[in-house]
Formats: sequence, C-alpha cells, structure tokens
Amino acid sequence: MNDTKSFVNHIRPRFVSEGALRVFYTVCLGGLSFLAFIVLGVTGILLMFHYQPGDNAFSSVLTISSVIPYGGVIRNLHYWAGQIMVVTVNLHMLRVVWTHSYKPPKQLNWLVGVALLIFVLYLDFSGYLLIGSQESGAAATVAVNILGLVPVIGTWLAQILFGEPSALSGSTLVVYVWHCVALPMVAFLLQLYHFWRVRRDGGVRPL
Amino acid sequence: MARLPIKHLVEKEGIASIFFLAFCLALALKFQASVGTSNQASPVSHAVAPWIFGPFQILLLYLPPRVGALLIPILIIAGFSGLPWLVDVLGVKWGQRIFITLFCFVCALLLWFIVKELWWQ
Repeated sequence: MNDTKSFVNHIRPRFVSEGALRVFYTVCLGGLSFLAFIVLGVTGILLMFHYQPGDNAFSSVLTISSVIPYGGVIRNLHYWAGQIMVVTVNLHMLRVVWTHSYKPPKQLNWLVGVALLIFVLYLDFSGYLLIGSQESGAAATVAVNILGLVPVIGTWLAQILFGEPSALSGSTLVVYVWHCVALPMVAFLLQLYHFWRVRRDGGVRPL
Repeated sequence: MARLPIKHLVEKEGIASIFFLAFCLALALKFQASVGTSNQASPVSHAVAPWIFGPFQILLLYLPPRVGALLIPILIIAGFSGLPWLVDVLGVKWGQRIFITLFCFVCALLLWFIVKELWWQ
C-alpha cells in the first residue's frame, strides 16, 4: 500500500518545480506521446471488435473502413495517432538531448526511453502488417529474411516476432497478439516507470 | 527554484491534450488511412515501405542486407543508447555531435526515401 502511494506521489506530486511548467522547455512532447498512446489504446480496442487476424484480415479492414458505422474514422484516428506518436517520440528525444536531460542521474531513464522508441517502431510495423495487404505481406517477408541473417537465433527470433507470414499477407495471430496485447502492456508499464523515474531523478528542470 | 501546486501543470496538460485531440481528429476526418492492395488483386511490381521505415528501404536498396539491415541499424541504436556514456568519455560537445550525426543520417535517408519513392514517382 505504501509502495503504491509512493509511486503515485512520485508521478503526481502535490507540488512541482516552476521549470516543469515552462511550455517551451518540454513542449509537452513526452505527455503528448503518452496521450497518443492512450488514443491508440482506446481506438485499438474498438477496432478489435471487428478485426480478424489471418486470411480474413484485409476484408475485415475493408469492412471496418467502409461498412461499420464510424469505423473509418476510428481506424483513421488509430492510424494518425500512431504516425504522430512516432514523430512526437523522436522530437521528445531531441528535446532531451538539447536540454542535456540524459546526464547523471538520468542515464537509466534515457535507456528506458530508447527502449520505448524501439517498442513504438515495432508497434507501428506490426500494425502495418495487420492490414493484411500485399504490401504488408512483402514487408513481413523482408523482416523475416532480415532476422534470418542474425546468426544462431535469427530464425527463432523471426518465429517469435512474426510467426509464419505468407507473401500475400503479413497478418498472423502471432503479430496480432504482439500488437494488441504483449507490446502495449510492456510499453505501458515502461512508460509508467519512465514517468516515475523522471520525478525520482529530480523532475523536469531547466539547467 | 520555486515550487507550485500541481494544478497549474494539470491545466497546461489539459489545454495541450485538447489541441492534440482536435488535431488528430481533424487529420482522421480529412485524410483516409491507406489500406494497400488486396491480395486477390494482381501482384504489385514494387512495394513501398511506410514512411517510418523508408530509411530501411533505402539502406536495403543500396547496401548488402547484412550491412544495411543489421550492422548500420545496430550501430545507430547503440549510438543512441550510449549517449550518456559517450558524453562521459568524449565530453558533451563530441558526444552530442555523434548523436546529432546519427540522427541527421537517419533523417537524410528518410528525405532520400520521400524524394525517391513518394515524390518522384
């Protein structure tokens, strides 16, 4: 109970330094990335009601886009929030470098941030594969072939990350589970740790 | 530095969130997300990667796969991850120069991809 209270107090303390309120210091980029993540979560759950992974993926995407009421808008929102998140995460990283916010004691949080960037890129890529189009099939084939170049663990890694995609569709159950369950959960927990660590390491403050 | 109640931060986050959500919604209403080509259609001769993975496509186009798809991306990720320690060893100026060089390299590849695949076509 005390741990939970301590965690919440770190993420949402009663008082913050004046520097944390300067909009042009952080440009809200970290917070906006998290907001994009929340939008992606909500729209993603709505899309899951009608999406079918595997051979029917492409037709279910077409159904969502053109038949389901507001399905097109929800899918567009999911797509654009994903694109914007990649942009804001990269700009956030540039801001952190610009303000030297990776310096001790923030090295660990910097590493967490880089891990989150990689997660975001894989989430984006797996989302692209789930469309189940010819292009996503080609992308999955390229990704599997690239991982196959990794010595010893390459084929195993490709199986774990992509399953067995066909050249005609990148949508597999494995990719679906990574995209909708495993990665968002890990990314969400890492983000909470990232925010907690920001406060723990002294908060957002101009140098 | 002075400390202020968190409500001031919450207010600013709220305003930023409203603008952000309005922007996302405007994009969603105005621009359709692509669905690509059906796998029932005749095969496409040239698949273009999504813009986020454009730098990868350019590297794969001109370099051997082991270099373009494995070595260079791993070096870039290692360079990003190691920034705090690069700064420790080489100093802030050189550490940040290495980071900015890597970042600009990725941006240049992205620009190359946009010009080659999206704009020139």
